[in-house]
Amino acid sequence: MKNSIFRFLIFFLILSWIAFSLSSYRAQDQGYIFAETGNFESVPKQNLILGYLIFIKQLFWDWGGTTISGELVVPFLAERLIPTLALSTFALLFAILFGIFGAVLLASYQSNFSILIFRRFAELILATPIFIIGVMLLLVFFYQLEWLPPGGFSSPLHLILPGITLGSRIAARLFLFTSKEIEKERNSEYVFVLESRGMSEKFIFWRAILPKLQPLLSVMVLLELAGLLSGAMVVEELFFYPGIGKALYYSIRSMDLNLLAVSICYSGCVFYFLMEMGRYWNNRILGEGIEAHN
Amino acid sequence: MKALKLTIRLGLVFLLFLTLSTQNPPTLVDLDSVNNPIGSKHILGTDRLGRDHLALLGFGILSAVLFSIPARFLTLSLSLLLASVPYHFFQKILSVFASVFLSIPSLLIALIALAILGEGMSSVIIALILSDWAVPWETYRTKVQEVSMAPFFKQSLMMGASPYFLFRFHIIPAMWSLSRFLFVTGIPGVIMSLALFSYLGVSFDSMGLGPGLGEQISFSKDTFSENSLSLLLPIAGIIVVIYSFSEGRKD
Repeated sequence: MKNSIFRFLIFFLILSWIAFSLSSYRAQDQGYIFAETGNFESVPKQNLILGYLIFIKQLFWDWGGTTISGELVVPFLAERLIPTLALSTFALLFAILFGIFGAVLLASYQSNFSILIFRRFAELILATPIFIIGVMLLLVFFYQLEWLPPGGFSSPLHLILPGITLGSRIAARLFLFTSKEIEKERNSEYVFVLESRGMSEKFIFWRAILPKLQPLLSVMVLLELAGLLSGAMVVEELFFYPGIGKALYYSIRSMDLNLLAVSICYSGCVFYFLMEMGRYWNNRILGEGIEAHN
Repeated sequence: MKALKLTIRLGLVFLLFLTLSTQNPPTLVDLDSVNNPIGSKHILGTDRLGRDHLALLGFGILSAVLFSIPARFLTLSLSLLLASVPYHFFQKILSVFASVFLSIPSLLIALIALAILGEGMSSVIIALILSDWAVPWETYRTKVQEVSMAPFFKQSLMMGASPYFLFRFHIIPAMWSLSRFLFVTGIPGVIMSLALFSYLGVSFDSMGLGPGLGEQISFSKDTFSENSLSLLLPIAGIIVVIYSFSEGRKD
């Protein structure tokens, strides 16, 4: 336990330092934002170490400081947490439904041709950048068919297009992994032993193969969630979705030092915690226990 | 599967040859030929600025491949160099930095680096290196540890082999094969990142190769009903290039 806390403290120290340094360099030209109004004041260069200490103080005692528009950073990000959670949940459920359940369903019917077609489709999805998937979905479902809204967050319908865009690549990865692992298990020695003992195909599939895959898949899903909760910048920017990813992208564009630094710390910490949970869960599955994790 | 990939790669080479042979520059704006359909003068038609679609597609693919190869090479070189430093304390410090870089979305690091460094080819390559160095570094470190724990390595050490001998005849061959694998499997990711950067408006046209495929998508998405090829061609180009470079599973 002490080891884990110490590791996290070191990690947070380096993360916050990198976040502050990158944000400071980015915000150096902040004065140019207001140059057109004739109100040009260049940001005074401050000592990096002093600036870092001020940043840490603001992070823990002043709600992360203020954004360029004068709002407190931590409440600003907290407002965007609910939409991000909603989008991540939808994307993950979509991915689990089509990725894992889809692979299980096709494998249970043992339709090799269908599995091959869907594998090729999954590889095609993985070869397509995420913003292209988003643009194509917008063109079809908003522009041509006018079935779904193009962006925002005022009803559950607004989750569909960005959720499918985010979830599609995860679904493709989960599908390829699940179908490959099922095939590997089907050709393994212990399944051969079960078959020779007279167990039915259905029994072997549902009672022997699938329970073996479930822990691995749960770790994979946890790791994917880490990526989603850290902020889906491109998708949220494309669909005008008011999540943490959009706040991140906005902070880079507007050279908002406090917002950018705190956002980087948030992304890093969320990813770290979920990765540690995944690692801990993986060790439990392998039977190595908490000692191995420490 | 291999036959399909080979066909796609040959198709890409033919497309590039066709692009270069038509001698239509991708940056030539011809307002008298706006939104032309497929024809003899412009094989795939023109966009809303009169630019030849074939030239935009061909040079877009060429620029994506030409930029991704040195970017990936430099990323792997830096990671290999860092992984080869023999000091244990240095590697421990680097491992903390690597875990921080891995916890921050790579796109975020790349965008911040681009915002700091400004536009241009070198900025894009530096941004790609910064966002991508950690994973190859970890892979190289794991390989170095794996080789140094191997029986043949320990035997060489016990028989009095010098550090140079061990490095030259054990570590380098392992790194070489790993580097080839990392290089080939990393190219699709770099091409995707370049397409995304150009979609987000990061320009790096320094060799007259015209707008990137992502930029073409961004430019054409609002006029899909007037000229669908302007959008569909760069999309198909990106997907085909990435697919042709990806290492598929053996079925």
